[in-house]
Amino acid sequence: MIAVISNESGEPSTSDVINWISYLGHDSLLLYGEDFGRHFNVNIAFLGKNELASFELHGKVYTPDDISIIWYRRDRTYFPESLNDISNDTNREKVKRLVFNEVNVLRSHFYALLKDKKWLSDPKKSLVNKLDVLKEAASVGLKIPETLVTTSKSSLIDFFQRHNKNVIIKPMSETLFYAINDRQYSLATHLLTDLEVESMPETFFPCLVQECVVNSFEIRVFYLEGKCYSIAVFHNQNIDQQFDNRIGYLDHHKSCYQLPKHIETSIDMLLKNLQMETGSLDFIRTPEGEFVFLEVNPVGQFSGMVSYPGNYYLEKKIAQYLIRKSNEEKSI
Amino acid sequence: MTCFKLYSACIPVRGASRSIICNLVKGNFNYIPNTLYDILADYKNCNIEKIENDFDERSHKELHKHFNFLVENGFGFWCDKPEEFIDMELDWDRSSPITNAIIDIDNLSKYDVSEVIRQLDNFRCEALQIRCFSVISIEEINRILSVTTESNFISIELYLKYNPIYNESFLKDLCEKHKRIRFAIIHSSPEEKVISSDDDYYYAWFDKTELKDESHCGNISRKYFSPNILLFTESQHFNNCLNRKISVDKEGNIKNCPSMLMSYGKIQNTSLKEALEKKGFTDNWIIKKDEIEVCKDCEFRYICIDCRAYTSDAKNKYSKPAKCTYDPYRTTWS
Ligand code: SF4
Repeated sequence: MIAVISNESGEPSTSDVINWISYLGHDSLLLYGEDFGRHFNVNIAFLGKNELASFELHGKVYTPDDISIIWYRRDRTYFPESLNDISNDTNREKVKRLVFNEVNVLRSHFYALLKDKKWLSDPKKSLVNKLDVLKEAASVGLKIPETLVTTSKSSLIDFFQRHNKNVIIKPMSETLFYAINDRQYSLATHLLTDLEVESMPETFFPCLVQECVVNSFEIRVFYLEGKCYSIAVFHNQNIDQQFDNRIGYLDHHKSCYQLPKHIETSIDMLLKNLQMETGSLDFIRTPEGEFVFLEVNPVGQFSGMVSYPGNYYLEKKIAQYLIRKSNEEKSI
Repeated sequence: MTCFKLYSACIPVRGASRSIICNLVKGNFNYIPNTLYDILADYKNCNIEKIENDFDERSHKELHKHFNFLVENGFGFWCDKPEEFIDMELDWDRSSPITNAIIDIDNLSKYDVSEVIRQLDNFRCEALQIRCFSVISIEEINRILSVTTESNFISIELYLKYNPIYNESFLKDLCEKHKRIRFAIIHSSPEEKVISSDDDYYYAWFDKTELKDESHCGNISRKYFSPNILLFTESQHFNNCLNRKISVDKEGNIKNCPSMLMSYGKIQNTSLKEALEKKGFTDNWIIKKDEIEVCKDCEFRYICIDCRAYTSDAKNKYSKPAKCTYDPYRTTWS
């Protein structure tokens, strides 16, 4: 059986893929990340030689043998509402940490039970190291923006001047969403200004800065098993919008796109080196016709951005892939 | 940048006397002359100089006007390497064996509506129309709709016959309780009005037209045109009204569409699944617009929902929808 691990909400592609699996005549087991904190039981006892570890979900018992392949999307931790009853902030944070750690032990034990199975996306690799990826991309021949991680004002100024003051700053890790007075903000990519650079102290916390690549358009790529499905995204000539990719563009156009062969070959090498069977990649196509690699997300969203506007039926393709691999696993 | 290119979801359709260009992502279309359609088709990926060379110098201004119009209205753009921008494949498929359904009810109906809804949900049916030709009680409405609370339906359209009990607050509560309701129409109403919340959370309108039975259906009008990827691609391969549709008429007959004659069994003793598997049930699913008389010459053929129940010649299943007054040869609605 095909197992799917996903969050309970905010994952529109998950139910689509599950529906396709069912339409194509196969069973699937859907496990929400939140389930680890609610509906999940594992039995650990002395098991005789032929006995298998089993787990129970929503009252049904499964063994690892029931599962042939796992499609991993996300596994958000469920925090019980009652945490809010703890009035002391510090204690609440501590208990929250504990809940997270407890669930994590259970979750990783479960993943270990299934470690010999085939996984489409590995949970251990769902958070990529952006710096590793950039280096790897450069090594397979992809062009990347010149990148600097620095703690020194003088080297920042150097970098800033060398790139004609076209420099962006962004987090090395994941974007952070936060609220001030009920307004939502995100730690999005930001174009540095003269004033900001000037006002930096001599030394500071490490910052990732990058040359801002001039773009004709962006390219979103969904990669599965050596194939690339691409969409060109044209933004309105409004510079602000380039740096605001999560809060939503006012206006943009999309068009089906074919990357040149050599870029697709490099993408294939990159994902193989990163041991990813699937992923979503972002590129910039410069006015000079160059392709600059920005990032890859092993569990990125692809439905609204690539699959639907390109009529690519990626959800169906993923389902077909999972069914094919599941059958191969079974026949071994 | 010397080559003109249409965005892949902006697709022109040629009619007998004029063409349209659809933006299937934004959901709009504009009229274009057939000469422009032909240029777009014949000179795909050519640069503007090549096009200009092939045309009389006097028409160059006109040419540029056309291209500017397409750019300004978001249908296309200028580029250097047009081959990079590939066409969208026009494949169509869905992951549900039945994607849409109609349930008709009047005061003589004697079947279990909730049970039909349950069976439809097993197909993972996405869109449901419930049409009540006579007044039904508020309890009954809630009872029927409660089955949809935990279901796969994405959109429910509800038709109710006017009664003073269906007032504004009732409709608001109903839409809030049953979140899958896309809109409610109160037909046979003494006055026409629209009620909705600011965020379109609920939406209902009162309409004077009386719906006595299924025969009100099958209207063709500009306001029903839907330029979107799903309809456009489905229309290339299938009948865009009947494909993957199942219905139960007011007498409990299981049909492809309530207005069609052929019944595949009574819902009281036949399951929807059994009916669907009967020979002939899906026969009309493959009649596409390109095969239908007149429609095949019409520029709206991939955004216009067809009707095979009311056709201009009852003996010819490829004849034009009877309720369409559009003449694509003269481009007039009569
Ligand atoms: S002629 Fe056919 S396609 Fe054109 S508007 Fe009428 S019904 Fe629709």
